[in-house]
Amino acid sequence: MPVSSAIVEIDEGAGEAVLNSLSSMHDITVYGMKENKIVIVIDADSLGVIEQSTKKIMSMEGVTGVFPVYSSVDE
Amino acid sequence: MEFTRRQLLKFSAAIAAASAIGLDLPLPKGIEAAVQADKWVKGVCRYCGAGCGVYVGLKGGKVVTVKGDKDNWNRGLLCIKGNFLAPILYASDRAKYPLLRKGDEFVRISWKEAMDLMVSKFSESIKKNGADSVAFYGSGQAYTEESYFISKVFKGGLGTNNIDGNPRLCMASAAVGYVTTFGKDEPMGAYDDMYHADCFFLIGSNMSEAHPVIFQIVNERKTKGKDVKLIVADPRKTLVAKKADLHMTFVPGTDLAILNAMAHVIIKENLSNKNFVGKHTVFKKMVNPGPPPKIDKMTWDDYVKFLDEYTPEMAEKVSGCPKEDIIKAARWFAQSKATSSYWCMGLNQRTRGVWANNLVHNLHLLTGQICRPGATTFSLTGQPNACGGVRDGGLLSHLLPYGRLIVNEKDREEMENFWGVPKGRINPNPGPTAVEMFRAFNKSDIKCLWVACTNPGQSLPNLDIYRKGMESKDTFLVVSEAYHPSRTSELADLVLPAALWVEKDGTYGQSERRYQYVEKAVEPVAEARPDLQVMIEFANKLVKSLGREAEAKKLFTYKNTEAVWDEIRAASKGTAYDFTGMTRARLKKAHGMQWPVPTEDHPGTVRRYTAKYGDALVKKFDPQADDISFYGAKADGNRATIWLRPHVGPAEPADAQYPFVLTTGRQLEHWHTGTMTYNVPELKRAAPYGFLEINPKDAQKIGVKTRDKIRITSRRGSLIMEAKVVDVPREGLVYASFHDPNKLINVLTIDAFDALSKQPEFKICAVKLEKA
Repeated sequence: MPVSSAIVEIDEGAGEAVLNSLSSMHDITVYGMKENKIVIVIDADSLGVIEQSTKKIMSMEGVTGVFPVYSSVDE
Repeated sequence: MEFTRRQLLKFSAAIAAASAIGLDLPLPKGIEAAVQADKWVKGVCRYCGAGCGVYVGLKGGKVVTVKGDKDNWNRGLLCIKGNFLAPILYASDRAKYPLLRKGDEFVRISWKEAMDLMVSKFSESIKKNGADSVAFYGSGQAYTEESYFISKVFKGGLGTNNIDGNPRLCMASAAVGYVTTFGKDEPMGAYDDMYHADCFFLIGSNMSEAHPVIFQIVNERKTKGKDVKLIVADPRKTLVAKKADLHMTFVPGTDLAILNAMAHVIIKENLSNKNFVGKHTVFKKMVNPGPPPKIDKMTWDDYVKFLDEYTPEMAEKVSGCPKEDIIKAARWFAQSKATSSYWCMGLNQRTRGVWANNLVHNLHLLTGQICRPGATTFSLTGQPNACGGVRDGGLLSHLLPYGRLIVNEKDREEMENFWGVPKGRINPNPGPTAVEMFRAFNKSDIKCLWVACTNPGQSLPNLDIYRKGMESKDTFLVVSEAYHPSRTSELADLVLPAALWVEKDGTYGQSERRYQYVEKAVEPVAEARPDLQVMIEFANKLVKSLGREAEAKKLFTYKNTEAVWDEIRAASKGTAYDFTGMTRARLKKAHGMQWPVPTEDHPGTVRRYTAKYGDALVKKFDPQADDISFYGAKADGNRATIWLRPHVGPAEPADAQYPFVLTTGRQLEHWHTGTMTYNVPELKRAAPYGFLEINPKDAQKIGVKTRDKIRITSRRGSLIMEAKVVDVPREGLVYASFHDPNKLINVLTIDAFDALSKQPEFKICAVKLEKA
């Protein structure tokens, strides 16, 4: 089962709304935020879920980019 | 406190991301070490020319993961492709053994058999038809040591310049643009300029998809910086264009008129920097393309007169770009504290690619927006070592290493002496460029061709005719590839399995003159071998077969890649590229170094051509200079050239019969011909196949909607793809990436090329569309 971390980059002032949206996604854990970047980990049953989650985050209002940093598969 | 393995993995992933942005996470002590790979090896991403630093994670002797290097310029960030690098090494279609074509089948043979056959074919051809009957087609993905070495074999050992590479298809126009304006190739600026610029001018660059990490920094600067402007000139409404303060849209192929009109506005509104222009520039006009080209010297007054006709109104009429946008762009460009321009294939893959490059440089010279932090003119590069191995290393058919030219007798003599080959060995005539080489192969003028680390069976323009040539039984095609079948290896007579990325060691040189060492981390799969090892064996056996055993031993004996690297450093000594001080030991420690690095205690050069900002070579080549000196242009008194380049349209504009323009490019999830990225399940699922983007209004006219099949026909071929109806391309323009090996978009593209750079016009050809 895959685990992937990413940095979600957001527009100025969009922090609260994006954090709220992220917290409603059950595969996502928010680890922290610095300036306009949020550190998340996607903990999923399959790679397909990671892809879907990434696409969903990218489509959120106020999100300007999602940058994967690390991924690993727990066999 | 005990943790499950799952929790440990999550913490590990979080630490990696948090460290990339300098965020301290309150994680339990010692947990990081517990969850990471057994060993991390420093390296560089295998994909684009940005050159992101990576750490490769190993477990049980295999690469299991990759993370960004937070101490490198990319600050630990990676794009989606870089993040999923590990699977490229373990794909099921890795080429594992030498394969020989027998009819329609490939059969496994030994390396000895493969090498003996290859040497005998090349040797026979040279003996019978001369050295110009054999050729090598290389790659901006090969390590510098490989490109330098094979160039030495062909130019110095065999005496033929039949050696070129795929950078001819992607950045030759940028290289010739730099040389014709500044005297020497490569950008003078650095990624560091992004942190200082307050105006970004992007033209012909889909940065968010093709260079995502660079775009992340530009976007960060725009978000954080006070009054930072982003101008994007692109016929497509890309994500970058959507982020822009000003999106200049225009009919493809008309941007030369826009660039001249911006210069017109700058002069008319008295926004030029006359002091800079007077001190650091000359003016020229090409009156006859030649060869050799006839060039006249011009004056400021000639330039002003030349620009007279390029009013914003005239440019709007030609390009469709509103005159107000042109005026606004010119003002922002000239009046900002520091303007940085970035471009990529949108300018380079054009029949007037060099001219387009020159016109961007003109704007920087005209306004003095150059050679200081944030002010620079920067070509982005598509491959990880097009700059370091091919441009700097001199692999192309008109080049010798480190700024030397085949046509220059002094340069030839210098390299003949350096290599220790007889005077006159280097052929004084430049060899065929990429398209010319495959034309010669089609006609059997070239009998034996070795293609390494690239995929011309998918990436050449007007593809069908060249695929037929590669398939011919009258010639001998050797393909060194990490994957089989690729769209080129499937046409080969002999396939040599190549080690890939961290299965071998070597040096990459990327867009900002940053050189980085890639350490070997794992053994190659099966019988795959590093290309350099194969090249050295081939060179020795071939030259020996030509009766020159002693010469082979003298020229082509190396203990390891470091021995080749040491020779390369020596070849650069004293040139404008000087990186004598960039030893292998220093590169192993550093997170990249930027040349010039003339001595072993020199820290590297962030900005070139300016003594004030640290270029030590200014005083060496131009002792009188107080700061800026374009010392590559000695013949022009160390001044850069402002060119009078008129607007000329594309080779094949849309017309009544073929009313749409097709442009090709890149998409986020894939890279080049997809041999690597289509092997990564995550990327393949995200973007499983190629499609054709079409504007909603055009889609309505021909009656297609998203997912409908659409037939695209050019004067060269026809292809059916799935339509994606989206408000990204402007009306009259359709777009497809060239990644999908099952949708060879290049059967449609045109092989007309730039007269100066010989780079083909992938970006513009005329097509017609119908619902399939």
